[in-house]
Order: sequence, then structure tokens, then C-alpha cells
Amino acid sequence: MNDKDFFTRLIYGLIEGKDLPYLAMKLAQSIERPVIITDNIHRILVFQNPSDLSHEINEFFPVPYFRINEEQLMQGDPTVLSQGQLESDNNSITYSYLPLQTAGKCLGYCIVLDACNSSISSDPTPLSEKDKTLIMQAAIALLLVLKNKREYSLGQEQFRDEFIRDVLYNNYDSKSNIYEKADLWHWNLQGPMVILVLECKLEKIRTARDLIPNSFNNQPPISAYINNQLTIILNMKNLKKRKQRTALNKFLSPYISQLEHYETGEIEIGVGSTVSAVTDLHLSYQEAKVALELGKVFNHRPICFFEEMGFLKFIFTQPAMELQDFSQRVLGPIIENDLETGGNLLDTLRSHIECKCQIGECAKALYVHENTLRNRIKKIEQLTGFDLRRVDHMVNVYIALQVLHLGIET
Amino acid sequence: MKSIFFEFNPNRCLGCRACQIACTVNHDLHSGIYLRKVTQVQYKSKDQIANYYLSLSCNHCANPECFRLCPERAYRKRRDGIVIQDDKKCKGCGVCTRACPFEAPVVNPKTGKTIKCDLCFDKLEEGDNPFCVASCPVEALTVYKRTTYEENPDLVKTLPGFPRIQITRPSIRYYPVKMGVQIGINLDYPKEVKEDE
Repeated sequence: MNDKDFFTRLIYGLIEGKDLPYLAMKLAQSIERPVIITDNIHRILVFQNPSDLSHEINEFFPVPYFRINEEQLMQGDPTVLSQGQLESDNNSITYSYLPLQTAGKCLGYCIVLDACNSSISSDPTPLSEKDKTLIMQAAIALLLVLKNKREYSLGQEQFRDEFIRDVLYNNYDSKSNIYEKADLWHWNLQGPMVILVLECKLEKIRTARDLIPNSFNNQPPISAYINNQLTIILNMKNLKKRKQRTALNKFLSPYISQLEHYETGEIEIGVGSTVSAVTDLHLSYQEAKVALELGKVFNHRPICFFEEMGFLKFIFTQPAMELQDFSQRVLGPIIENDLETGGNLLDTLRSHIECKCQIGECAKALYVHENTLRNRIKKIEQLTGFDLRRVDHMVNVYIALQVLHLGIET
Repeated sequence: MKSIFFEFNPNRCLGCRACQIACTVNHDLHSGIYLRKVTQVQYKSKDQIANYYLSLSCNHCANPECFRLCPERAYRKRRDGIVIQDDKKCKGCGVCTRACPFEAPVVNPKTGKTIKCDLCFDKLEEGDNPFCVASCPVEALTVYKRTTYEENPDLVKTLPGFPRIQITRPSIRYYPVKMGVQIGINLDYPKEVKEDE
């Protein structure tokens, strides 16, 4: 089979409706090496292993990014192929790879594995010139498929996002209508669910969406882009309540690591409570958004669970004027005193509470002598009329501080 | 789709309450029941003072608490961002009236059910302005359409002296209030001025 035959066969396969696995399989068979196709965020889309070599491959196959000259790619110039090595605990894989790039955008990578040190040979034979030509031929067909897939998925995404938005904003009346539409995308919206809302750099939200792990509780997570935030719906079916938090943390930890790797900026995640039916999903969504905002204010970063917010979630729903009045009534004398004297009693009070009212710990944190701190606390007590050793008095001071914080931060 | 929201210019508002009355009359509300309220705000800081009127109704928040807490699922948020309430589903429990930090929903004594500003969406769909906006003689109150990506840098999310409770993310935007200096106050003695945070 000559090179032209190979390329024609691939294109003919595409005309017949074949997809990425077919192209990868043909390439893998032709060059007799394992072939991996990843998307632009290095998630493996296809892994074809013709000789069943024992490669330990995870969900992602990261390769160093470099920009190629697209002209060279189109002309089939094999010099654009690069070499790389992936090290894992007891495995080292050498590979050749090629970014599949068009119009300045990388849509994915074609990776050809050489061999494992634990498998056929410790000294892999390099790719022949003919192999390289076949890879370059396949790259054009792969690029075509990836581009079509990308465009199709962007179009579909818009419809899906609108559907999710309608569900989350209570614009559907019956469960059956929701199930019927969800079936179009093979989504399972039955059983208990929870919603996560994520905020990161706006220009990186697309990457954040692509990086969502493939599976949670054996179900694919459902995502939507709403109001500059990424919304993720997770199915909690058969997960006992006490195991839900562990499962969520297990899902989120690697995801957050991936996001940090892609420099998505400061990540904030709000998690709503678990709801039993799809018609209550709007509750979990609102809770997740509130948790996200409260997390920002009270520094519960990067994940803030609504159920963990305790009484704070009730505070901000009180009439705004009353909250402000309450805060002023309790802390007003301290603020006034600070303005008059240029002191920092308010900061002292905040630190005192943060240090669990431990004089020694707080004095260290503020770099002051313990007696200085005692004097300041005495002054605070005189100004406010509260005894900071009494729980009922302390609760008022704490809430007033949080309300003040709520106003400043937001 | 573009979101619809109120814009308010406190520098123009005369405090005539035309918006408040127009809303009440056209919605055939009981006397004393207002979906829009005009209040006077006085803000003083060390060297500045501002007196202005504020016309507020439902802010059609991005995270509406009425929507979250309603036990009857009577609230929904349209694609254009307007939060509306289904009168048929409402049982008048009043949870939303207590939940809203801006006290936007009110109980209508005629029906015993809750009622709130719906931004007169039926009028907007016909290309008209809501009653409150149409009645403002100085165009202090307007409605504006924007996508979630667009933010007018000239507008602000809150005003001095007004509580900055933004957790619910109100959609209303304000023109910054022009601060003046109180004549007759000796600025060297800030103690005499009641200072707000």
C-alpha cells in the first residue's frame, strides 16, 4: 500500500461515516504502534493498541505544547513531529507527537507510542520515514474530524445550555417534559442530584468545562454555561448521605488540580444540597450560587458547601437596612473610636475572634504584648457595652462583624 | 439572549413618586401597597454629603432568594432575567416577603397572595416601557438590555449610604451619585458629622 492509498482509504472511511477510532486504528495498524488521539486539553479520545502492549494510560495524556507551522502540516512535512517521554511511577513511555492545529487553534494531538520499558524492548526502534509520512497523512484526516466534532459540539452546547438553564430557572412544569428532552442527549436526570457552580477567569471558562472529569458515580456529569459561571450537575444515585461529601471531594480534588495546571485563575466553587427530584434542582442551583458568594465573603475557598454555612446563610436574607442598622448599633462606637483616634480596635476584635478568643495566640498574631491586648479588649467592652466572655454577647458581636464584612466584601 | 434590567440615575430623581403611583394605579393595587418605593437617602462621610432619592422595586436578582425559598415553586426566572411569580401557585405564605433582603414581594390584601414587580414584561414584549419608567418625568428610571458579558463601566452596583448586600446579585445598575459638600459644616471637626461606614 502506498501513501496515497492510505490517505484515500482514510478519506473514504470518513465518507462512509467512520470516526476517530477508525482513523486511529488504521494508523496504528499501518505503523504497528499504539496510537492515542487527545483533544486540546489532552483528554484521551481514542487509544488504539494493535499489539496489546501493556501501557498504563490514564484519562489524560499530557504532552508539551508547541505551535507548529500549519503550512508544514498541510504539506505533510514530517519534521513537525516531536519527541516526548512520559514518566510515571514504574513506567516510562517514549512517544512521537504532533499538534493537530488549524487557524492558530490546537484541536488535539496525535501521539504515537514507541514502547514501554516493561514490554517488547527497552530500546524502541525509531519511526521510519514511511511511518512518519503515514502519520502526516493521517493528521489531515484527524484534523478534519476534530474540527467537525468541535463545531458540532459547540452548536449542541448552546441548545443544551438553554435547556439546563430553563430547568434550573423553573421554566418547566412537569418532570416528563424534562425527561423527554434530556433523553435527546442520553442524560439521566432521575434520582438525587447535586449542583456545583464554578467561577474562574472568564476567558478560561471553556477550558474549565472541557476539563470536567468524565464520570462521577458512574454517570457523566452534565455541565452548562450560565451567567458567566460553569454549572455542573452530578447524579448522587445510590450514594449514601455520609459518603456523598467524600465522593464530591474525590471528584473535585483532581479537577481543581487540573484547573490550576491550566492557570484558570482563582477558582471558586459553590456546592448546593442534594435534591431528590429534577423539579427541585433549582433549589440546589440557587444554594450553590449563594454558597459561592458566601465562600468569597467568608473565605471558604475554593469549595464552599451550602450546608456548611450554618446561620450565615440566614443572615443575608434579612432586610438589608435592618442588617446595616444592627451592625452599626453594635460596632458603631468602635468604628467611631477608630476614626477619631486612628486606632484599630475593630481589627483587634476581628483577630481576637479569629484566634478563638485566646489572648496569647491573638497577641502573637498582632505582635503586641498580652497586656496591651487585654487593655484593647477592655476598651472594646467599654465602648460596646458587651462582655466578650459571655456567649450571648459574643454572638451579637460576631454576627455584627460578619454583616459588616458582608457589606465590605460584596 | 439579552437580559433586561433597571437603570436608575439618582442625580435626576426628584422624589416625585410618579413611578410609585403609576405602578400602584396601573396594577390596581390596594392603597398603601407598593411594588416600587421611593425613599430618601442621606449619606454623610467626613467631608462629603449626599442627599438623594432612591426608587426601588424588585431587582430581578441573579440569585433570587424568593425563587429559592418559595415552597410552592411559584417563582421562575425567564431567559431575559425577569423574575416572575405565578399567581395561581402562590398560597400567600409570605416566605418570599421575608426572604428578600430588599423587601420587594408584598402581600396583596385583596387576594391574600404575594405580588411583586414583573418589570411589566407584557408591555416590554409589545415594545412599550413599564409603567414606572414611562411615568418618570425626568427619565431617572430606565430599562436597558444587555448580555451577561456587557457591563457599562459608567454604572455602579450600589450607592453610598445604601446597604451593600450583593449576595443575591441584584441586576439593577445605578449612575454614581454626585457628592456635594455640606455648607456650614466645619470640615476640621469631623466629630460633628455623623459618619456612616
